[in-house]
Amino acid sequence: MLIQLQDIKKTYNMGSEKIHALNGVNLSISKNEYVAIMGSSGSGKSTLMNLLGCLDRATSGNYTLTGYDTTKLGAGALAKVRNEQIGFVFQSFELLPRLNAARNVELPLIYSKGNQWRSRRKRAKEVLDRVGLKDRMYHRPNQLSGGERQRVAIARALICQPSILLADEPTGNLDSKNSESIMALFDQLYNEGQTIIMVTHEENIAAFAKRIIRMKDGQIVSDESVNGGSVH
Amino acid sequence: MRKLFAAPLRFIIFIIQSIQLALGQIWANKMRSMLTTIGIIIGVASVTAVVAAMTGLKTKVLKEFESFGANSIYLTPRVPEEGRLKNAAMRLIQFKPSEFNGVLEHCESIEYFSRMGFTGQNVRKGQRSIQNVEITGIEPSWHKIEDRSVVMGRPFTIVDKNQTGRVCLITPDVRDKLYLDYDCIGQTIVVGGRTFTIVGVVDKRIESSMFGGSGESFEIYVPYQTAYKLWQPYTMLLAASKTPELANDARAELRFYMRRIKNLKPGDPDTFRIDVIQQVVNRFNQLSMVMTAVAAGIVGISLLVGGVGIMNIMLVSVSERTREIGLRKAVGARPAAILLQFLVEAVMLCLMGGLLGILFGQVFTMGISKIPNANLDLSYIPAWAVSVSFGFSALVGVTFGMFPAIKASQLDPIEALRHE
Repeated sequence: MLIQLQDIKKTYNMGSEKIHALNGVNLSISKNEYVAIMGSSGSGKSTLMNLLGCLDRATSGNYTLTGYDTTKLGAGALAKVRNEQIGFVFQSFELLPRLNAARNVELPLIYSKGNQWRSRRKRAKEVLDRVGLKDRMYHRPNQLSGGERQRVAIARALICQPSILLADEPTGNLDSKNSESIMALFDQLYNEGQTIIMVTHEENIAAFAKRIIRMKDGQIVSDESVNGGSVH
Repeated sequence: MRKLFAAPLRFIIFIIQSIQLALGQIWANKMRSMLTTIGIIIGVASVTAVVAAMTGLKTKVLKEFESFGANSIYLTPRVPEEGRLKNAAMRLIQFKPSEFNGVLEHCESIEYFSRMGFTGQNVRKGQRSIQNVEITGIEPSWHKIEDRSVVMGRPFTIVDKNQTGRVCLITPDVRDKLYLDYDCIGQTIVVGGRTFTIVGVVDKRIESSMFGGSGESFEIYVPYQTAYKLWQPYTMLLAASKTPELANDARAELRFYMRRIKNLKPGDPDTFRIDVIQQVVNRFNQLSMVMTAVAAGIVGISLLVGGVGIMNIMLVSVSERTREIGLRKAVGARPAAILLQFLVEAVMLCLMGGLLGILFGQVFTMGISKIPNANLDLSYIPAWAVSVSFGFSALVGVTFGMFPAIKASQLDPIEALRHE
């Protein structure tokens, strides 16, 4: 099992009031699944996403990622887990404007273990080729279209060969044509064996996934497999 | 072996990357970076210029001292202020020429010595005369101790000494005042009613405007034995140690010797005084070091003001780049990596300020060395001041960059990514 959540709770203190963003979530996701997490705003899907991405820690419960318990890890160790296991794709791309595509893609390698500084450019080239942007390597973000920018961001997410590709509303800032091409890319990556978890509130985007998890008030209300996928 | 070097190598590569990143950031905000570093530039420039001026002044003064001879030792009679010899007769305190006969034998650090006798006499040549000229009786060794070149004729020899000859050396001013020929060697003048033959012309004492020694210098030198026979002058001893470092040894040996000669008992204060130029030079060196440090310290306060400017701009930078920090954290940057990145940026800013500051300091220094009559013509920035300036700039960068860098490293990645 790639991901195992056991009775995960996340509580925020808003003054005297306690807000239960997640209220006892149990979830398992195995390797090479393609999962969409859906829900309205305030349903807890973003909180779940942050927890899965090790950007945040649960108030209680256990989160096991690739067999390791992440619950007790400190900030430095969590950074290492993010670097090695998780590739983030954000709604607003989050590319650094002064760096060209290749340099943006190389960014995670700067913080990763081992001396890959000689092979860095080669690996950036490979992943940019994988997302179909080989000829845009030395363009800056402002010289790229929205779809191309998101492809660069996906390439950056893939460069450390993460266990999970975690996408937060990946098409939220794109028109329908670019959205489709990004979803086609996700399909391609899934078929190549990549595990993908994406958060979205758009039904037609979620429809690309093989498993849809719906959330409400900090709890999972439905978990179904679609498009011939299977729930584990 | 590879494993052994992997961690430090990674760290070095990471530092190089941080420096690249910082330079890029500084370059991207050229105007702002420039304005921020002005405080550091002015601070470093003034510190280096002040140090340069102090160093120049010191060099100048030391040169003056050295013209007196760093290994020179002066022995003069002195009535003690207390003890049984407080009211001793002057003739007991005064030196007799024969008292110094054993100096070379008993003081092994002393290389040469010359008795010196001082008196004032009127000097005359035909109708022209000079009142109360400083007459100094010297021995041939004097020429080896005092750095006074004989520009014409010859110095005194052992023959002059042994024959108590009526010969003299004069300064060019005496020659001119008495309207002697330019080449006055062999001519005679009347000193204190006795006729002397001029055998040489000696340069006048090197004295600078700093010590008030300006104008004419009337000096006449005669063999000590001649002066002693004629005038019983006030006598002192000029000696030179073998090296400047031995000056203090020589002083101790001479003191021991003189106490025995003067029959002083244990507990009696000295009836003489020994001065060593090296001592004065050391004292001056200490003093000037303290003064330089104090002056540089006061001016260095302006560097702190520059540091506050750095802190301010780094805080702005952190706040502007909150999303970037969030992203870097999301892709795996540890807090320490973010801290280092911002710290390196602050240090780079300060070092650039330091570099420009040193350049401006050099310009200032060239400027002050041109100020007339200020005795600053030897001003220069010593190497240690350059390294201290750099070091201090880096320190200011670390000190004032630390708070913004800690702030950046502690940012919550989720909050940071949500930041507008």
